Amino acid sequence: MKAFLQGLLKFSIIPILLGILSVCSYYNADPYFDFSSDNHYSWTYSFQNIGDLSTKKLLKSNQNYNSFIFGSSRVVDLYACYLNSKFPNSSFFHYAGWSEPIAGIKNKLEIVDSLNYSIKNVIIYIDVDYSFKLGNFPNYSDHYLVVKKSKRRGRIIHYQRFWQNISYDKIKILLGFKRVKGHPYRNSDPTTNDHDHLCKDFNVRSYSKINRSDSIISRIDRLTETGFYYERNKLQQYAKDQISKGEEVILNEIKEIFDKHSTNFYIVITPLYDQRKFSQKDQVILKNIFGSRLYDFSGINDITNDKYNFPDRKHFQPYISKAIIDSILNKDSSIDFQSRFVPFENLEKITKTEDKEN
Amino acid sequence: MLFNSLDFAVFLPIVFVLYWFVTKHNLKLQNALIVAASYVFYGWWDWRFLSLIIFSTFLDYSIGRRLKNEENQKTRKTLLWTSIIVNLGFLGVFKYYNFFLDNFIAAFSFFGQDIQPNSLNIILPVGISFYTFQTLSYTIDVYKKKLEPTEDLVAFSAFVCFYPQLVAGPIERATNLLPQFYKKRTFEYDKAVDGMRQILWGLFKKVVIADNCAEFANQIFNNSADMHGSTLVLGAIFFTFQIYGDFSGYSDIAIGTSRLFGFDLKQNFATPYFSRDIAEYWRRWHISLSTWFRDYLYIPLGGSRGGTWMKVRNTFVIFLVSGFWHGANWTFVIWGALNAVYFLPLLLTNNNRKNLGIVAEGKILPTFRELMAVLTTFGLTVFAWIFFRAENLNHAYNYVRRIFSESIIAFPEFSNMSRALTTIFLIFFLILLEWLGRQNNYAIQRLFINSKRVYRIVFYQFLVMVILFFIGGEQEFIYFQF
Repeated sequence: MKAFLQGLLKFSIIPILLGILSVCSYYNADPYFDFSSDNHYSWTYSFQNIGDLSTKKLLKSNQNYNSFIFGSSRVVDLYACYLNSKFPNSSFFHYAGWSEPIAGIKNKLEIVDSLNYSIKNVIIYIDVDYSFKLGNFPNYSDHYLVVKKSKRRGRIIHYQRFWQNISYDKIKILLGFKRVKGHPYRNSDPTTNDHDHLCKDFNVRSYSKINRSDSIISRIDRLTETGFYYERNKLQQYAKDQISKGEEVILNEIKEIFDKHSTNFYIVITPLYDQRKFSQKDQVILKNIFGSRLYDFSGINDITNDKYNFPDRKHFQPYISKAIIDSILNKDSSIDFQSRFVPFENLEKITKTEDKEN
Repeated sequence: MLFNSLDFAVFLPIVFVLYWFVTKHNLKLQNALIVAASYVFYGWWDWRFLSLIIFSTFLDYSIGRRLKNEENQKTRKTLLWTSIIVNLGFLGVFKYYNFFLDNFIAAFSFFGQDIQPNSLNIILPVGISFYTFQTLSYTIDVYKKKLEPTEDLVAFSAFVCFYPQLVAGPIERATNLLPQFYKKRTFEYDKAVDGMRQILWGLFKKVVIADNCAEFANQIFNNSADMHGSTLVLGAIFFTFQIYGDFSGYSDIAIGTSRLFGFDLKQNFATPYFSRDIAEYWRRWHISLSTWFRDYLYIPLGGSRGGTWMKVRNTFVIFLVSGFWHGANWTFVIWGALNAVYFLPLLLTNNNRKNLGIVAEGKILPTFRELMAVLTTFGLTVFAWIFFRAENLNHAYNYVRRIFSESIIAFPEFSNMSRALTTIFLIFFLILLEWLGRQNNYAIQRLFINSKRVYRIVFYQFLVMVILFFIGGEQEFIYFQF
C-alpha cells in the first residue's frame, strides 16, 4: 500500500503542478469575468457567451430597466437605444445569448422577474432553425443562473470550456495579452448593453443604412459561385415539427410572466436565408400561446429573397432588424415587406395548394 | 455521480482511504462501507430512487432464502416468477410505460378510435436496466441451483449496488461477484496499479474520444436535413466512436475502480471494431449483456438447436429484445433487427464461430482479406448505429436516404472543422493503441510493460496531458439512460 501511494503521489506531481499552473493563470486572466469586480462586461473573446456576460452585467447594474430584448445572435443588431426612442418611457436592456434556445429565454425572463424589474416591453426573436433544438435545456455555456447550476459549477464549466479548445491565442490570453484575440470594438453599451456599438446618435442614424458596398456585393457573389449561397427552393419549405411538450410548457411559462407584468410583447420569427418556416403544427402552438403578438418574417419573402441581406447564411444585416421593428410598429419602413405575411388562417389552404402542385 | 466529475475525484479517495485504512480488519464493515458508499454514489443523482434498489435487494434476498429451503417445484416456480414479474414490472413501468401507451393510442387511432392519452411524466431511474438484470441473474441461478443463496444481507446488498458498476455495468453474475464479498480482501500492489492504468485508459476513451466525437455527432445528427451525404457518413462514424468510447470507457473505469478495492469484474469490451464478422463483433461488444441474454434467454429458448425456423426465431428474439433493452423507441428495435439480419446468414451457414481468436494474432498487420473483413463488419456496424442514434424512424430513414444521394460525393461541411480534424487524429491514435493491445483486457494493459519504467511513466504522463488538453464538453455517459 505504501509503495502504491508513494508511486501515485510521484506520478501525480507533474499533473498537479500543471493543474495548479492552469488554475492560477486562468484565475489571473479571468477570460469569462467570473472573478472580476468590473461591471462593464464586454464581449472580448469568441468563446464567451454574450448571455453569460449580460447576466453578470444585469446582476451588478443599478439601472432601472423596464424593457428587455431576448434572442440569439440574430437579435444582436436590434438596437436597444433605437427601441428606447420608439417605446415611450422605456429603458431597454439587451439580453441576447449565443445560440439561444427557448429555455434560455425563459430562464432569463425568470431572472429578470426575480430581480423585481418591471417587465413593460419585451421583444423576442425566435429562430426556425435553432430556438427549439436543445429541448428543455438552455445553452450550456450560458450563465450559471441561466443553466441553473451552482456558482461553483458554473465556474468549473467555464474553466473546462476554456481548456477544451486550447489554442495559441488562449495561451497568449493566459500570459496576459488579454485582448489578443479580442474585439476591442465589441464593447457593449454601458447602459443598454447593446453589442458592438455604443448608443451614440451616429450609430442610430446609420441604423437604417442599407449596406450594399462593392466589397460586400463582390464577396457574396463570390460565395454564390462557390455554392455557399445556394439556390433556394421556389416552393415554401417547412421545418419538421420541433416544439416538444416540454418546450410548449416553457412557452406557456413565458406567457405567464408576460401576463403577470401586463407586458407589451412582440414575438418575432426571424427571416433566415434557408427560407424555412415552422411546421403548421408548431405555428399553431405559437399562435395559440402568443396570438396576434406573433410576427412571422420567416419563409419566402422580400427580405429572404434578397441574398445581399445576409452577410452569411445564418445572420441578416442590421437594417433588417430596424425594418422589422418599424414594420411591427406600423411606422414607415425603408423596406417593402409586402409579401412577408402569410395570413395564418390561409396557411392550411396554401400548404394544400403547394402539395397539389408538387 | 459521474466518473469524469470532480465530485467523483473527491469521492473515490475518501472511500479508498476508509476502505483500506479504517475498515480493513473487518469484512462486514468493509462490505457495509461499500453499500453506504454506493448509496451515496447513486443518491448523488436522486435519493428517491434508492428505494427501488433497496426494495429489489430485499425482494431477491428473501426469495433466494425461500428458494433454498423450498422443495416444492410449483412454489419454487412461483417464487421465481414473483422476482421476474416484480423486477421487470419496475423496469416496464419506469422505462416502457409511455412507449406502450403511445403505441396503443396510435394503433387505435389507425382504426379511427380516438383515445385521450394519459401519459405520465416518468423519470427513468439511472441504471435500472443494469441492476435489474443483475438481481434477476441471482434469483434465476439460485432457482436453477447453480448458486447457493446467500444468508449475508450486507454482502448481497453490496453485490446489487456495488457502485463502480451500478449504473452502467458491466452486468455481473452473482456467481462471479457475490463470492468475492465473502472473502477477505487484501491490498495487492499489482492489481491496484493495473486498476489505475485501466481508469486512465477509460478516462481517455470517455473524455477525449467520446466527448469530442459527441460534439460533431450531435451537430450532424441534429441538422441532418441540411447536411451533405458525405457529412452524414462522417456523423455516423463520429457516433460509432462516441458510443464505443463512452461505454467501453465507462466499463474500463468501473473495472479499474473495482480493482482498487480488490474486486475482479468481467471484461465487457474486447476491441469489437476489429471483428471480422458480426458474430465475432457480438462476442466482443457489451460482453456482459450479450452473455446474459445468451444464458437466460437464448439457451432457454432452445438456442441454435432445432430446425432452421427455431434458429431464425431465437436469433430475432434475442436481438430484438436486446434492442428494446436499450430504450423505449422503435429505433432501438430496428437496430436490433438489423443486427439479427447481419448475424443470421452466419448462423445458418454454421460460420458464426469461425473467428474465435484475435485478428492477425501474433502479427503486426492483418492480411488483406482480414482487413477487408474488418472494414466490412465495421461498415455494417456504422450503418446500424444510425438507427440507434436517430430520434425516430423517420429521422433514420431521411438520414440514410440523404447518405445515398448525389451529395455523398460532396466535400463534408459542418462547423468547427479544424477541431473535427483533431478529433479524427485522436480517433486514429485510439485505433493504433487498441490494435497494439488487442490481445489484452484493455489496450494499454501491457504497452511498454517490457520497456524501461521511465518510458512507461512518460507514456502515462502523455496520456494525462492528452486528457487535460483535449477534454471534450461534459457529457453524461450514454448508457446511463438505458
